[in-house]
Amino acid sequence: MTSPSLTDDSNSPNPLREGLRIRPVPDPAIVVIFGATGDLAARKLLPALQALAAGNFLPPAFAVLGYGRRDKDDNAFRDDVRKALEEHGQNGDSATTEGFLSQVYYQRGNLDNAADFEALGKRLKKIAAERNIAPNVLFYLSTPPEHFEPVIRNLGHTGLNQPENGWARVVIEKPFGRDLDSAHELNAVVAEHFGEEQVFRIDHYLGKENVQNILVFRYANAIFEPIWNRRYVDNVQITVAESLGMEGRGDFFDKAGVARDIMQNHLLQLLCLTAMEPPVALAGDAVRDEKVKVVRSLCRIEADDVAAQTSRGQYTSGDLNGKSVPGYLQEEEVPADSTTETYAAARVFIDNWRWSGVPFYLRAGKRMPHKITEIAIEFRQAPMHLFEETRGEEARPNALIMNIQPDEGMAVRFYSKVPGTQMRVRPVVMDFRYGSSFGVEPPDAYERLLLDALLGDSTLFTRADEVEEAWRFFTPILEAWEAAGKDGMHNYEAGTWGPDDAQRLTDQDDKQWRRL
Amino acid sequence: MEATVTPPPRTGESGEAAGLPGLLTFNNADADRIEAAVRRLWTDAAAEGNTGVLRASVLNLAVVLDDATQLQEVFQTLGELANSHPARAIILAPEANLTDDNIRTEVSIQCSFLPGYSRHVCTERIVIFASPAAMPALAQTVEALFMDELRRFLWWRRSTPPGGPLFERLAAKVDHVMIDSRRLSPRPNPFGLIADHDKCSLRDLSWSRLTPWRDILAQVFDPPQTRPFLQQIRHVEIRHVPGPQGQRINAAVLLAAWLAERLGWSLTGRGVDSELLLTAPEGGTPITLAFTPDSRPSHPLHLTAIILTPNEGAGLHVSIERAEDMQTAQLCMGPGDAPLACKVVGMAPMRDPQALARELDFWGRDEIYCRVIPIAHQLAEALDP
Ligand SMILES: NC(=O)c1ccc[n+]([C@@H]2O[C@H](COP(=O)([O-])OP(=O)(O)OC[C@H]3O[C@@H](n4cnc5c(N)ncnc54)[C@H](OP(=O)(O)O)[C@@H]3O)[C@@H](O)[C@H]2O)c1
Repeated sequence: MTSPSLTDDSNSPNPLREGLRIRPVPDPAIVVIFGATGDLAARKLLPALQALAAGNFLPPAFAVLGYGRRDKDDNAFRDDVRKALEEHGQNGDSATTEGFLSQVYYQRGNLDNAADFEALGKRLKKIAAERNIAPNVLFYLSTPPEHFEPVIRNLGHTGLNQPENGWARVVIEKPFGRDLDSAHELNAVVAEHFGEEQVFRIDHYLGKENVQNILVFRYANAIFEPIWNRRYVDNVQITVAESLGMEGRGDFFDKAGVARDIMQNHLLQLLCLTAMEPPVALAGDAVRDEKVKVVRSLCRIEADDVAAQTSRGQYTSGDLNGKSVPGYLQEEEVPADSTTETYAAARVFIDNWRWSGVPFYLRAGKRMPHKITEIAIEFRQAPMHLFEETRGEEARPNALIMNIQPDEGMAVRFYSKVPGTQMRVRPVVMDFRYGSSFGVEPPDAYERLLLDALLGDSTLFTRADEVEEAWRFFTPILEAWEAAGKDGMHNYEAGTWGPDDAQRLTDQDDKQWRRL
Repeated sequence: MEATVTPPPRTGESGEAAGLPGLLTFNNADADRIEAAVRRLWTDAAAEGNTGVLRASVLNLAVVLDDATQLQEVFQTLGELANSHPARAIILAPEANLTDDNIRTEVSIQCSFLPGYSRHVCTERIVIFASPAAMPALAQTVEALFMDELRRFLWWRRSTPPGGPLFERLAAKVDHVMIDSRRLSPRPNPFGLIADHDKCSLRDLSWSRLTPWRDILAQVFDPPQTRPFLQQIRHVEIRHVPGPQGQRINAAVLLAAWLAERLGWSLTGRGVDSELLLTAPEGGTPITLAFTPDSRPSHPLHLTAIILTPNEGAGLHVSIERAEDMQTAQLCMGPGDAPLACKVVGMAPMRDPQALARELDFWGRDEIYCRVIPIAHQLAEALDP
């Protein structure tokens, strides 16, 4: 392209962009997906990229390069992507889909072979020249976690981490480590080759609309802040329940368990957003600083206290949605003597000014009666009981419930008079369903997060210290469970809310788990 | 109360009508009675055991129509809008055959099922029919009917430019006024009348509909490497499908005015074939601007293409051309002397509910629109002196 004479203008802002009232589009870039032939790429990443393209959220000069060990050419990969989009995509007519596919390429290579990364570098240069794309690259690590380290090292050794006149960023899937040591080690390798501002550790829960709504709810509404503390809050219950079992991923799950798979990341994020102090700004490090402070303030559960403060279980066969389902130990790829938990619960405390003495009950489980993720803030009882119905065992305190999925929304439980001549009081739930008050479909979490990473906005990604603090809290628990083996593992029937043993955690404080 | 209840009108494609509430009509525009009627409709809905009915409103929307024949179109828009902006809508529908003391009000709740939910989202609709002469006096009733504390919007959905007693009275009672310059006849030059009003407080759905065009053009010049090519533009062609009487569309003028404002071009006169002549700020480089009618009779009043041609031998050639089905566009760019690189981009025409939603979500002043309108006025004057 012939260079214009007025080159100094390239530094001034784009006058056509000003006042557009839409998010800016990212810089021209190539997204490289390692593990492009995997499940996550097919179900989430490629459909999210295609949806972003269909919504004109991506720059005109853009490309996606799938990296995999299978032998195929661009066209064969495009056929796979087309199929994945048909099955899992939502947006776009055939013209935009074909337009997107024309920007998709494939590169064969292994993850631990440096020579293959040299070839990758050459291919990137070629595509960039062909499509007139500046040398900006977003590397997405969608491989099994044991490959994260070699990929990072290979990117570093081949200089792909520092392109000339452009940027390189790396998105790292979960799980980030499997305990404190491994997370620390992985962070060290990452830090050797990438600056923290280049690293985007993904927890897709943070991309969910209603998780972000927790921040809006807390900080856009002044009425909640005065009661959001130990003076008024009696206890907080966070539940992440799934009705699914293993669905062919028994091998993967058995190596992790529900505490690693859900609690250490998704559930802890919900806890942080619920408990954190107001950030100074709603951007990058300000929010993450506050989240880290919450994790640091968690009272450690030491080895000898793990049995008292946690509960774990495995599901046995049972009935769910009218069908019989097998127990965990009968699932495919699960060893018959597995001691991996499919349910975990914990009673934790946050040792800070705001929350001291308020129990946070956390639970996550597989094969629960239905899928639900919610945060419930239960308030203290009124100091005097004028009404019979608000006394005694049956009385339920006021509660504020933030539903994350499947029905995103808020609900408040309070007492009201039953119409009539008698003074009869009943709890009522005022229910605001985000999804049904606003019928617009929120974007998929991966769409939001991919766009953020392309724009370099790390607010909704986890930082190195945050991940390590999370592992610092969970590692002693996991180690104690591993040491105890079958001891302390409680069975629960599939289709129930977990083992009876979990009741112990709330009983200690004369509380009850919410009935969901 | 002289009210009758009839089954509700069905909504259009936004979702099946819920069939819960009825329609209450009466022969006055008494705000207390209207409020009572709305309450009654909600109570009836709850009494039918439909616990899924949700009363949520995020705004007040007053709508002024040319006449009652536009009502169904507006209901359709409100139904779709309810998904993201459940509202109380107060619609003024002039009816020439009504005498001045003959006022009729219809109250209904329009609900749409949401896919995947057993619930509905609803918009409260209050339609007041009156003679054109009786309309200005209804501004007070409209104000009385606004729900407390919620933002108040006026959608001036008329083919006459904003102005006159009804407009002035209503505009004084709301936070934001929305017009649609697409609906306004290009003669007399409507941008002058818009410019006369406090234009910065106006919202224009036609301006919203230009967003995809502005966005794609901005994307082309986002990379610092292409930014300097903005200075190399020498010819701009905007293609559009004229209105039913062959009139040029206001949106084409608005898009051209935006480019001129953003790039600092000033109008110098008129060239051949109704081309306009402009000059760039540096060195007075001449730029020509052409509006070309396109023949796609099924899509009147739409833009179909914009083509930026650079200085010969230098610069970037850019074209965005809508496909025949109007859903996508082909964006092509490259140096003038080499084959262009093309890609397909989404470019479905923005429908009223989308354009409205965009404007309802923006509470500030649109400074760029404010600066573009006087230039649109100048361009339109030069085209039709
Ligand atoms: N799937 C989900 O819903 C989900 C959710 C959250 C997080 N994650 C995380 O995302 C990552 C990917 O998950 P996934 O479900 O997509 O896994 P997957 O279906 O097993 O896919 C893994 C990908 O990595 C490739 N791969 C494995 N070893 C390789 C090697 N030595 N050289 C080159 N390529 C190799 C595989 O290639 P082949 O096709 O040739 O085997 C495949 O493309 C994991 O870290 C997982 O924990 C996944």
